[in-house]
Amino acid sequence: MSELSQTEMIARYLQGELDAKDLEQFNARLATDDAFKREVELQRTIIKNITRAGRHALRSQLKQYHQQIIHETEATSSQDISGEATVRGRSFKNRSRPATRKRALLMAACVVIALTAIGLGYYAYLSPERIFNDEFKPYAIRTTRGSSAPADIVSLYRDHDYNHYLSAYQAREVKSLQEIFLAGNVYLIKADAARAIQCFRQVMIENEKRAAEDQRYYEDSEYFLALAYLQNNEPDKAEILFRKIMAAPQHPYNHEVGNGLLWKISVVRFKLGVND
Amino acid sequence: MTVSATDEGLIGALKNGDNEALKYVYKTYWPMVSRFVRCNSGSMEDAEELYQESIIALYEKLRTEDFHLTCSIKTYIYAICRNKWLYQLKGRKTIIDIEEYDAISIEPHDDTHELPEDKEIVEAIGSMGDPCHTLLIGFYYQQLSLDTLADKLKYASASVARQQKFRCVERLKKLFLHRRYRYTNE
Repeated sequence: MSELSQTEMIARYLQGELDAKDLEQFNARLATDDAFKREVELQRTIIKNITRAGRHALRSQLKQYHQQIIHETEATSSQDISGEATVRGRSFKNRSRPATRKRALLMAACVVIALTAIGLGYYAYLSPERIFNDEFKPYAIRTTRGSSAPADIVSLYRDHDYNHYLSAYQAREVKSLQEIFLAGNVYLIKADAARAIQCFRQVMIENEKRAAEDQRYYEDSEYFLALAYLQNNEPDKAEILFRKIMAAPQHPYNHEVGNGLLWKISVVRFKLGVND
Repeated sequence: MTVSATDEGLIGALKNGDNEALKYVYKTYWPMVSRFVRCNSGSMEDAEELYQESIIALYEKLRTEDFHLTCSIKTYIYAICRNKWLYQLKGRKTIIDIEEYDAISIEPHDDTHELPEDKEIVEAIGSMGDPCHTLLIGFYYQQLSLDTLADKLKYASASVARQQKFRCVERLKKLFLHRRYRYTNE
């Protein structure tokens, strides 16, 4: 039997493709020929490890896709910079006396290209949803705050059991402001911006009917409503609320809103064509 | 739960080793998994690791004979990621779902992580060039048919691909035995 046909025979055996007669002969040889037995074991081990090698290859392929995603979203300027450096290095290498002014201009051009690439990359990266993802942290319940909601439903939220929170919330006929506000947060977590907006607006409207000293969750809702507008791709509405919060130093969320956030919102408004 | 026509097309393409389909799936569901992990105390690196493991699990599961996807690819990927992440958290925290989650049964796939890895053989396979690398991984890991492989490698027929496959296994055995001989004499 040639080496190749032996390899083929073993492969057919390992894949269960031998017919009864060949299998009988194969097993008989396996029982008596130790070298053959080792050969079969080696081939079995090799085939098992091809699976492992296949998985390694697939993982490398996925890592490449991942890098592509990162490059596409962030458009890093590293390639531009290294590309420019190569051109620059080559051009200087060929000159015995480099022209200082030209070098300075070239360097300045490189810096401008790099900054432009970074700027363009950031411009491409920014979106209302990304700003939302950067800014949003689910509301953390403060235990000292007055609440009319029964403890069980609030504890569901506190324990991050959001699905059960929503079920309990939806089943409740009369909902407290705290429950509505927390439901708004859960909808934000679940990326259901439209429902979140409804909740926060309802809290604010209810508050407007109350006396000033009995205001509950009004300012919280104002801030989270702005975030909900971002998630809902309405940066213009979000900006109005954020500007209002920023202009009020006593607002509990005043420190959360800075010029950087407003600038990013202006950029996405421009991108979306909702600029004034 | 039903599988859409788009998903059926994608599943077929994934089974046939179509890299464009794999890239499409990877890019489409990455934002969902990234957001899920970050909402559940994980970092971007954790999300990448988890997502790639889950895609590999899906890829291998699609190749098992008795497996039929009964939900959308998105739902299945979400469920795998959720299960794997829940296992990593080991009950330290309740999961925050970002998608509708109906518990679907995901049997642990035949994970050769449990097999003893023979590093030398894996290295020997990795060091093989084409066509052997494509042929062996295509046949044994991706479970592509010999017809598909013949087509991919521009062979005249499936039987040519079959003969070439045996030659590759033979070459691999020699390569491995040669390495082992070299290491034992060093």
